[in-house]
Parts: sequence; structure tokens; C-alpha cells
Amino acid sequence: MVPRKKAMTHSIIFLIVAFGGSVLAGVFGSMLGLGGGALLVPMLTIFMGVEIHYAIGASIVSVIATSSGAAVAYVRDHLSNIRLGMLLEVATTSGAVTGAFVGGLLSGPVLSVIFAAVLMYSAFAMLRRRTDDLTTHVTPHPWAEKLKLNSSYHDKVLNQRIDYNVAGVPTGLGLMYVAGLVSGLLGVGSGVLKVPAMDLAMRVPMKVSSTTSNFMIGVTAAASAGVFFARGQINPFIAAPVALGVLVGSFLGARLLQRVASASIRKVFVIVLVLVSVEMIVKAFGIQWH
Amino acid sequence: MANAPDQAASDGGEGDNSAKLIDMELIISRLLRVGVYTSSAVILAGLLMMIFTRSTGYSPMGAYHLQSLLRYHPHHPEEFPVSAPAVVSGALALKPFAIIMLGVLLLIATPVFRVAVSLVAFAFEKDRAYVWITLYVLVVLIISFLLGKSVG
Repeated sequence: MVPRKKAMTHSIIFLIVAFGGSVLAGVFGSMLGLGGGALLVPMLTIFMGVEIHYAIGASIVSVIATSSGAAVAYVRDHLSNIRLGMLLEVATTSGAVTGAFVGGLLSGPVLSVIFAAVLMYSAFAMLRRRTDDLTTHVTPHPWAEKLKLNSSYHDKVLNQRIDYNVAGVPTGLGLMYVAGLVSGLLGVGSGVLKVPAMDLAMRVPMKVSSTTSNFMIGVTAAASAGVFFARGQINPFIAAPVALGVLVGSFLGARLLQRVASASIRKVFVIVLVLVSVEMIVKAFGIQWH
Repeated sequence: MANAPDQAASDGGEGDNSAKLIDMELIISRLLRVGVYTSSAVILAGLLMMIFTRSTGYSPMGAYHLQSLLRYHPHHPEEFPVSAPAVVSGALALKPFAIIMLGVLLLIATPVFRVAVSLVAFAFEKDRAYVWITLYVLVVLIISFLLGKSVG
């Protein structure tokens, strides 16, 4: 009688902590276009003793929740570029399917180190770029005109309409394939790769790239979620508090994004990228030592 | 005449961001909202049922111990359903973990329906390039779900 009651209490504490941590991951995930997965997997494995396979399974569910939850607000505010998102999903879903196959051939530590290296590169590439939102003239790629990718949005902070062109379409597609591959391998949304691909290679404004990334992440994650589900990697006891927490967090994050200028988002983004990549390297070596 | 195509091309992008595209975005927005609210309500119902009935619907009473709930069984996941038919039959039997998994499956389906709605919207706009682009994405998604089944 007593042990059962005590065990029940532990389970409730686990659910509460998992929910609270997921709210925070959802807030930062949707604000940064991270999708929450990159923050959730370290939180669940390091602080909560969750097995990595279950952490990845819960992460992919939360990634879909973040994307679908925040996209409601983003689409309403006309920040997402739907056509750009759909075109790039051709690459991300193809990559996610490839990643689901290749994932079985590579070891976890090797993947973690590769991912960490890509994140580090993204962080330093971000630092080199200008920080203002008033885009200098970007010469559109010929495909961008044919596929109607050039668009505009209303910036609430600057209170003006921002017109933008889209460059580097083939490079962007190639990077998006890699982003999808990482998503399929690691069970993360890989917004950390999608945002720089649009931001740096395609010269899309920061707010458009982070919201369009959020919009695309759910579709990419759905391409690998079925595999995780069939393998039994989605544990309802972990996935339920995580999905609900991330949903609440993503709604809060979507509201905060509107009131923060892009320069400050970028600074937070760079710090988060560095921290997550260090975390991934530490975790990779930690796994080998066990 | 030599300058005219250049001018037309740079103006072309803006003209296409018209009412039709905004309508499509709003349809997608509402679809996503319904999918997210429905799936989260189902997940919450399953979670509350688990807490109040003190049962997952699958494990014996010993499973209340946190460690057994968190133990990974890749080949014998007997503590929760891992196929769509098992989820549906378990949910009909009001098993809390099956109800949570039903919500999870609805959540996974949300982006797939989003792509399907986009396909219809692009078809109504007679935007042939984007019909093919969207159709490709939808086919990849369906194939991935079938592959997921064979992997399991």
C-alpha cells in the first residue's frame, strides 16, 4: 500500500517536471524556430533520466506540436511564406525518409558529433551577418520568380511593409535535404538548420525564415514520426506531458516573437546554438564511456 | 522592349500574393488549429484518466513504479500500443495509454492533412507547378508511413 502510493507520487512529480520543462522548451523553440526538439532531448536524457530512444520519440511528437501550434499564429499574421515552405518540403521530406534508413547504419555518438559541428558552423555564420531587418537589395534567383517565392510581410516593430526577394534556391534546397536528413536521423525538427539555410543561403528576412521554418518542421517531422511510432519509441507516459507542455509553450512563444526585434532574436539564437552543440559533443562522449 | 520583361518579372512576385493565397493560408491556419486542439484534448483526457484511475490500461499495478514506466523495450513494448489498430481498439476499450496514443496519432496526422489541403488549394488556383510540388510531398509522407510500418 505504502510503496504503491509513493511510486504514484514519483510518477506525478515526473509528469509535472516534464510538463514544466516542455513549456520552456516550447517558448524558446517557437521563438527561435528550433522546434523544441534540440532543447528537449538534452533536458529529458540529462536531467530526467529518460532513455534516449524515448526522448527522441517524445521529441518528434513535440516538434509536430510546436510547428502546428505556432503556425496558427504565424499564418494569421502572414509571416510564413507558404510557397517557399512547400517547395522546400520537397527536399526536407526526401531527406527525412533517407535519414530514417541511414539512421540504422550510423552510431549515435558519430551522429551527435556531426550534428554539433553543423550547429557550430551555423552559429558562427549567423554572427558574421548584418543584424538589421531593413534588407539591402537581394537579386532574386530565376527560380524564385518562376515559382513566385518573392513576397512581402508587415513588420510590427518597424511598422512597415517589407518586400523581399529570394536568392540561392538550389543551394537552399540542398541544405534543406541535409536538414531533413538530420531530422530523420535524430528525431529533431532541425529548425536550427532550416533557419540558416533560408536566412543565409536564400537571403530571406529573419522573421520570415523562422516562421516558415516552424511551418515546415511539422511536415518534415511527420515523415519520420511513423517510423518511431512503429518501433515503439513513442512512450505515452513521456510523450503526453511533453506534447501538452510544448503546445502551451509554443503559443506563448508565438506571441512573444511579435514584440522582439530580430537583432535580439539573433543574439539569443547564436548563444543557444553554441550551448546545444557543446551539449551534443559532451553527450556523444558520455555515451561512449558508458 | 528590352527593359519591359525585367520590369514585369520584378513586379510579378507581389501580384501573386493576392486574396486567393491569403484565403488558402487562412484555411490552413484553421485546419492546424482544429487538429492541435483536438489532439491535445484527447491526450489530456488520456493523461487525466491515467492519473485518476491509477491505471495505464496495459501494465499491472507494479508499473506505477516510475522506472518500469521509463524502461525501454524496443522489441516487446507491451506497456503501450504500437500500431494504429491496437491504438483504436485500446481507445475504444477506454485504456488511458491508448487514448493518449490516439491523440499522438491525430497530432502526427495534422501536418499530413495540411499538405492535402494545400494540394486542393493549389489545384483551385490552377497553379500547376505547385500542384506537382505538393503532390510529391504528400506521396513522400504516405511512403514514409508505409516504410515505418515495415520497419516496426
